[in-house]
Amino acid sequence: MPGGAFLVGDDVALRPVEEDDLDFLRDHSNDPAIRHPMTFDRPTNLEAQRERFEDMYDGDDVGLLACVDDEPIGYAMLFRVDESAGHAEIAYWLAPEAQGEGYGTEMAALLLDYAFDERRLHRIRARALDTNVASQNLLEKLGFTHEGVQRDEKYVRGEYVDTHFYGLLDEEWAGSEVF
Amino acid sequence: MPGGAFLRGERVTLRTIEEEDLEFVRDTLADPRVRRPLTMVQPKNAESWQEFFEERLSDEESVDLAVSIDGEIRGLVWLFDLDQQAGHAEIGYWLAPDVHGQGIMTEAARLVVEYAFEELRLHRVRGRALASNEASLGVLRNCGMSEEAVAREAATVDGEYVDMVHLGVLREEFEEAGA
Repeated sequence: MPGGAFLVGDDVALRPVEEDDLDFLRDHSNDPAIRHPMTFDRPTNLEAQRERFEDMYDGDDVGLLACVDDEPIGYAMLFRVDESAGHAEIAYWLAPEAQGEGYGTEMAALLLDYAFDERRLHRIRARALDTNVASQNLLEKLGFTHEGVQRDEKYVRGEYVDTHFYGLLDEEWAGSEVF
Repeated sequence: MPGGAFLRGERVTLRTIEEEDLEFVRDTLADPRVRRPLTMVQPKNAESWQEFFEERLSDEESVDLAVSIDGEIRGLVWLFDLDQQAGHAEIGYWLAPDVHGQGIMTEAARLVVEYAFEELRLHRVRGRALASNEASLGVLRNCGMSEEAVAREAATVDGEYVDMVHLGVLREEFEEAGA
């Protein structure tokens, strides 16, 4: 049984992860097409996904499954939440077959609405590998400011890769309805 | 196919090991043709495999993969004694007897050695094989490994002492060998 939609856009809905979704998360988070840009470097089987799932909503972090027509297409996260400073980080991935449709923009925008309007955060951080131009373009389109580069910060497919750091303040956020 | 594909080769897919694989693992490893070269002398039942699955195979740090051919699990390959500080690990593996002699483990082991260098940033991978196990020595040599030591009469197989051959490959050797 799929969970109830938590954040709803024109095409994409973000809903809490249910146990039936763990196969989807397992299959995609092990896929080199996703784990290389996300820098997930260890295999995680269904049991490991289930262990994560069991306390998934116990803390401040938020992980939501992105769906189009009730079918899961990706995953979006708000994590490293610091309530007293008022900031957090977002990250997300899309299944390869769902890329290039604008779903990434929509899911990130829904999560930003939530972060600023519901969680009352002041600042959101995001990171993108130098090799992941699609992710950099997405963040810039959403209004993020490029705040810096950490040189050789990650190690992907045999090479050190720079990580770009981006930030967005609440007064700079245009709102998901603009996208 | 059960399990999430983690490394893909031409004939072989290395995927996560799932609970439904345990019956195959138990039955195949009970076969003397498989367990004797591994010097596994302790019998293991479904319960002991279940514990191993929960504690080791589902651990988020360990690297344990199912060797899948045409969607069927035919063996396992793994890294162990992984020392990120020193930058090395050891490779272990086994295959069901019906697919021995086809170069399948050579392909699987190369994928894992490449992963160790290119994703885990290791410097050295080692392996051990009984001096009597030409097939396994061939797999390790095909990964670019050279013999570094012979531990005399270090194992007992079928009532006989057998030498254990220690092999290793450094990252630059693996790349030079184009393995």
